[in-house]
Amino acid sequence: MNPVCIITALPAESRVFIDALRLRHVQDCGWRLYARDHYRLLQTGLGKLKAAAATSTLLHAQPDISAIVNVGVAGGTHPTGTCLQAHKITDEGTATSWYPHLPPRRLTQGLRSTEVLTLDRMSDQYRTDAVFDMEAAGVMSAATVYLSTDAIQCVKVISDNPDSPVQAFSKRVAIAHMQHTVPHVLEMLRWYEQMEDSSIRQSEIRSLSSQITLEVRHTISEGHQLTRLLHRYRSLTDTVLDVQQLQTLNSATAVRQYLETQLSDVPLTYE
Amino acid sequence: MDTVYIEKEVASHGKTTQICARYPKARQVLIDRYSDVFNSRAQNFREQKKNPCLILANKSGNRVHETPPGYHIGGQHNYYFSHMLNCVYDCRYCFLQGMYQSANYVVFVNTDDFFQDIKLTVKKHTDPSWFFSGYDCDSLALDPITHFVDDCVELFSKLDNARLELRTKSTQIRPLLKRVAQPNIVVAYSLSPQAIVATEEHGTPSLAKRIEALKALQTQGWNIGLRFDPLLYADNFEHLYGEMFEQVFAALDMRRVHSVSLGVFRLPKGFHKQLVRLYPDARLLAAPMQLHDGMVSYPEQTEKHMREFCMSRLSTAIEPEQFFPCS
Repeated sequence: MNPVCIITALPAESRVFIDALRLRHVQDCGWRLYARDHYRLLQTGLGKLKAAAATSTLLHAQPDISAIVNVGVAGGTHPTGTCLQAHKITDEGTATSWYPHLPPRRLTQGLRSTEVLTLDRMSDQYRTDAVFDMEAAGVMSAATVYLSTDAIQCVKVISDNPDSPVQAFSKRVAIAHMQHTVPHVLEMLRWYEQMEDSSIRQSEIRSLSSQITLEVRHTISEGHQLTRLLHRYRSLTDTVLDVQQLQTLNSATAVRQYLETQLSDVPLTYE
Repeated sequence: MDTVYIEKEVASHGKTTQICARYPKARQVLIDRYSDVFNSRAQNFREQKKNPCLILANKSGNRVHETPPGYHIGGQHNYYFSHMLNCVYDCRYCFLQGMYQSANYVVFVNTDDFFQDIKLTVKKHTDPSWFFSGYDCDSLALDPITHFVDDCVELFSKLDNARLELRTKSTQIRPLLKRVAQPNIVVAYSLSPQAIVATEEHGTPSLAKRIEALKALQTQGWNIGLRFDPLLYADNFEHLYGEMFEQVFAALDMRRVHSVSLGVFRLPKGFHKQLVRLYPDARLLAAPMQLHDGMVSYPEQTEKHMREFCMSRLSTAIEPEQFFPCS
């Protein structure tokens, strides 16, 4: 199963997920990463720049991560403790916007959607049509380089509003508010896990291809041809090829010819 | 539909209200321009197809376009219009997945503007103009939501010098059956052998259901068209298509079919590349293909054989003037 990752900014935002998923700190310099099984939690630090840098580093280092959920506290006009998912994320500084492709509504019952406006500094000029945070746009700008918008979600919980301004914010209060996000985020993670992973078959072919190219030298173009032939073989026979046979061949041309001969014997039919 | 994006410009449009009423529980998100969502980068067509959103928008600029050369059924002046972008079905060979980044459906609610443009286009010519709906979408599939067919049939019933083709795979024909058949409207069905429908045309009505719909329309006096496009290669091609033609010929009065067209699978190079990226193990991609003149299709001999086989079968049932090859 491909890893799924929660991205937070602050320790107070991470705590509830570290406990809920029994995550362990991964000893590695340069970032705060927690993991167990296929779960990851990245704690980026405050602000969109740190969020973007950490997200980018993680997704570059672990390209098998299939989905991320950015979770954290936000300011808005809703009552504190209200959980919201982002249908639009805007970087206030550049006016760039992203639209996450939201999961089915049945999975996010009781979770209203909103625009998340990422600010460069904290603000108490609350708006009714958006909530404020400081990381979502950074996460989006970095994550969309690696993942599509259906694989990136953002859940925020209101921690400050006109009645309870940001000055009253404390770690203890934040942890209490974050607790509300846990069921929603875990539901999203479960959804990503259960989704028919269209990339599984593709990653099997990629792995097959690299097993062959490790033993038999292929140029980039020959590598692409090989991948296409492996896909053709898979779609026509619905079986996986015996790689050992191919690994004994001495050139990319020999591999291609072998595969083409094999494929010429397989009829393409619709039944 | 779980999420409906609504352009601010059409938020209070009657059609928007009517469509939103069908989805009272859907999330509603106001947007500035439909392209902000529809054309944004980092979208995954394949994943979105599992849970598409609806975008209600205003179509500005050109609403009626000339068809590409060769896209006609005998008319001199041929135009297409798209009241909707994208299709509710999920056909592996569809060019829309190469053309658009997004699998979300865009419905343009300003149908009156489309109709105004159609009327103006008709006035440009003294002889009849043909209008094709179903170029960037299926004409009927989302009709229970858009009610496009009712409006469109109403318009064309008053335009003597205009002809309309509604192209579809859908069996949502109730709005047509409720009306008197219009002589200037052709309801054209895309047909494929059932084995291909099951493998490559995900979510579409079966061949039998489509034939049933065609029969009902023909019985009521509607002009019907048959579109065997795209023909897909298989080693059992003759068996598959031969059987399908028999089913069609047995069910319909072929002499009264308005028009028949056929075309072999072909895609522009870029669209084909996108298809390979999205569905590398699609069965249709396992067939041998070649690039000619920027289009990816089967080798010339294969194509010729497929065409000739189909034309020989069709020639037993229709007159040459009913036939229009696709290029």
